[in-house]
Amino acid sequence: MNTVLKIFLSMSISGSLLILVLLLAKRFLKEKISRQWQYYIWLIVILRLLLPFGSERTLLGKTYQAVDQAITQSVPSPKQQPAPNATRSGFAPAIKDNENPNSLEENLTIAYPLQDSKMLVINHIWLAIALGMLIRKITIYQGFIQYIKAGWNPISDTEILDQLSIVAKQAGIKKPIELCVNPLVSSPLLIGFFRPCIVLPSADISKKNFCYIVLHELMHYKRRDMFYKWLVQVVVCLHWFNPFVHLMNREITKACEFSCDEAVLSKMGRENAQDYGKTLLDAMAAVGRYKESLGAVTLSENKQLLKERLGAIMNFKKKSKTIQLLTGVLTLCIIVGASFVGVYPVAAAVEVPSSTNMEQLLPSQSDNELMADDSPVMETLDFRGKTYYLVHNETQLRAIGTGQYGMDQNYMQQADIWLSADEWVPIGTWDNPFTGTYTGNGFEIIGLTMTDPNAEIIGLFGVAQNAHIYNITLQDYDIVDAGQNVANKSVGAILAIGRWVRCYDNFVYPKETNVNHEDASSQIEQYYKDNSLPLFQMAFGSLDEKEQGKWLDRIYTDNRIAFWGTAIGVLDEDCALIQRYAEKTYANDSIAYFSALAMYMSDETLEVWLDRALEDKNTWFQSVLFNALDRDDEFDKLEEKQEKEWAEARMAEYGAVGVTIDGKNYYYQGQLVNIFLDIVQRDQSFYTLDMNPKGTINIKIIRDTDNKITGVIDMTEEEVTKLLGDMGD
Amino acid sequence: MIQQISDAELEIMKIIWGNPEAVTLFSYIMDGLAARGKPCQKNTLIVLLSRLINKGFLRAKKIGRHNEYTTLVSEAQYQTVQTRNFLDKIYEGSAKGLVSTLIMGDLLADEEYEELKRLLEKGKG
Repeated sequence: MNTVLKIFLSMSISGSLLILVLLLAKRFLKEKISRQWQYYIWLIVILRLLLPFGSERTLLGKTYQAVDQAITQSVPSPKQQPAPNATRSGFAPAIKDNENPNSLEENLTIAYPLQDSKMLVINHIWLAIALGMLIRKITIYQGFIQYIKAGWNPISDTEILDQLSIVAKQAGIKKPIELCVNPLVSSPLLIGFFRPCIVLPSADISKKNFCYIVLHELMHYKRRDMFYKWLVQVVVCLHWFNPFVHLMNREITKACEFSCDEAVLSKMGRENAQDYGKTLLDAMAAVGRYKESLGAVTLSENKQLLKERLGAIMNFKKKSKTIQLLTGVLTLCIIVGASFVGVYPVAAAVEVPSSTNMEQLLPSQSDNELMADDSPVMETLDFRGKTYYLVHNETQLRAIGTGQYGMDQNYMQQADIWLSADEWVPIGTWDNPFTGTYTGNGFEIIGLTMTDPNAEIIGLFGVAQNAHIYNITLQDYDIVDAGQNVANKSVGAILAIGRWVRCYDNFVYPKETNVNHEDASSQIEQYYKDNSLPLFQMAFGSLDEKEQGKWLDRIYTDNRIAFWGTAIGVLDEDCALIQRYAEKTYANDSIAYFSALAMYMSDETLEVWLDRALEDKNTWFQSVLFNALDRDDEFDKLEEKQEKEWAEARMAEYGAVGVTIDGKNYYYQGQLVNIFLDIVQRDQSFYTLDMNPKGTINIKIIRDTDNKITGVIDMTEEEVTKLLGDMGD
Repeated sequence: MIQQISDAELEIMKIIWGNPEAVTLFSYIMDGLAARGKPCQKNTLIVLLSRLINKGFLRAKKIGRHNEYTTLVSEAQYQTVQTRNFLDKIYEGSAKGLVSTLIMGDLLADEEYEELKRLLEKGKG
């Protein structure tokens, strides 16, 4: 297959997919979404069908390659030779070819000197048919124009011409529009790309009908529907072999009229919908008379379309904001879809070596077999300017980062690797991070095990920087027990800690632990007692809401904050349990417990709580909530303000009982205070204690149960000793 | 061969023919139509003018943002052709028939009759 044709076929297939998606979407959304959108959205499909660009990673890229391979295998071309080395060199020109998609034609002759002549013939046939169709379409159009021009009569009635000019002005068209009558046309139509001319079947129509008809045609002109139509015709000619494209052509023609009707109505207003519909019917009645000889099929089809159009006109209403939003989202989806559905992956193959085409590059199977199962020596493979070490077994995998197999090298896995139960040592450390490339190539690494309770970094890769880690499949790994004793451990099945690492297309499947859902409740008890946080978390996650509630109650009562955080971690954001315990912990002033919950609240919920905390003047909760909302600076300001207020209130309060404050010095009845103590009664947790060695008296503020200051007394010797003793502790 | 033009187009031609200047500006025609009690939209006039250009009656020259129109067919030429057509159609090409209809139908004022007579004498001489 030659590349141009391949790219073209893939574009055609991608386009067909999009067409199918749109047709399907139309079924559901016909009435709900603006007709304009339904019309212009096809442009994306047309672009997909015309432009051979796609995003780097495409949905169908691999499929195309697979198909490609199947074809190459079934049709052995002369350049394929049995020797394994030749496969490599045979592929090389293809890669070179791919790098330069812009000059494909040129490369074609260089890269495929022995190209199957059959393919060239196919290529030529395709082009010839496309060109032929296009020429035919153009001549038919020219003939039609001549036919119309031959029998037309320019309308010379200035009144009608004036009407046309006024309607055109209203529609926002500056160009003068020619107006003609030709009794041979079946319905009003617009011809001419740059010098527009409206052709009417007859000038004998009511003023109202004239306005509607002309406005409809003017809308076609204003929206440049002629260009759109011809763009579609070009696509149809190029993709002549694709029935979906012909289907699309029909859909666009329909959508064109629908959206034009919609544009007219949005100009004229909904109240005129009925009149407009009648005009359409009148116009169509004439068609019926004229086209009778053309056979019943066209006629009924037209009637069907007319029925739909009338329905749409009567249902016309301006689309709501929601629909507009939905439309926007949908458009985005389709655009993204269009770019991701992809073409034959020219660019993709260069940028990201995918497993399929890499397998072609492997040394032949017999080479693999020659190697001992546990050989630590890695073969190398040069691939696109990079040298890869080939990883076949556990010994080799574990050897990464030792000797010549440096952290900065490139590695490519070549087989499924079963690891022994020996403790896995993550590749890359803080001192020596992994900086190379590792591609799993779609192979699996099975049974990675880490159990060291003191491990701080847990994962296949430990620390990586500027690395490229992809296409790894991790099966049955077991790392739950690792790092139990470490508070700040870093865990990631593939990679624990990464900076500027490209890490993608990896799949992880943890080992099924023996936690059974049936006996989870009995197990969880054990984990709780054993202080095993990870296992507790897993078991907790499998409980139902009621059980989870019970456990949260218990943890709360037992005051085991670590378990609290672990348990909350498996709950969904804003779920009922979170709400319930937020209420409870807020009421109990359990700041730490509340802050754990706050981490699993949505911003909206946090805002609600913040409002509440602000209203309750609950500074500590405010602090937590501001922090959770990432608005610390706001809290700092608020706190500053509150402290100032508080200090002022305090001054006033103290002043009332004869205590004055001057800078850092407290005075009572004119005497400098040595020890000043003010305990807020509520929970004894707030107190002011000030000691000034220069002072001469020791005083204590007396408060009643409502925290009101009732008086000042001198502290007894005993009290002072006790206080100072406490401090000493 | 001079083509047929519509009444609206003839109206415009008359204005241009009536203009003493060699070239006519768009606004002059617009004003002329209004003065004759037949105002029309700007775009309508543009369409009509472009038809006249296509029929070979006018030539437009773009000067800056204005079009300058010059006639390619004089009023006399047009009248001759039209009269010939008229004669062919109604009087089978006979001018005598036309003149006799004019006289018999009392369609000529006395001064016109005298002038015509003088013209005939002169033509003979």
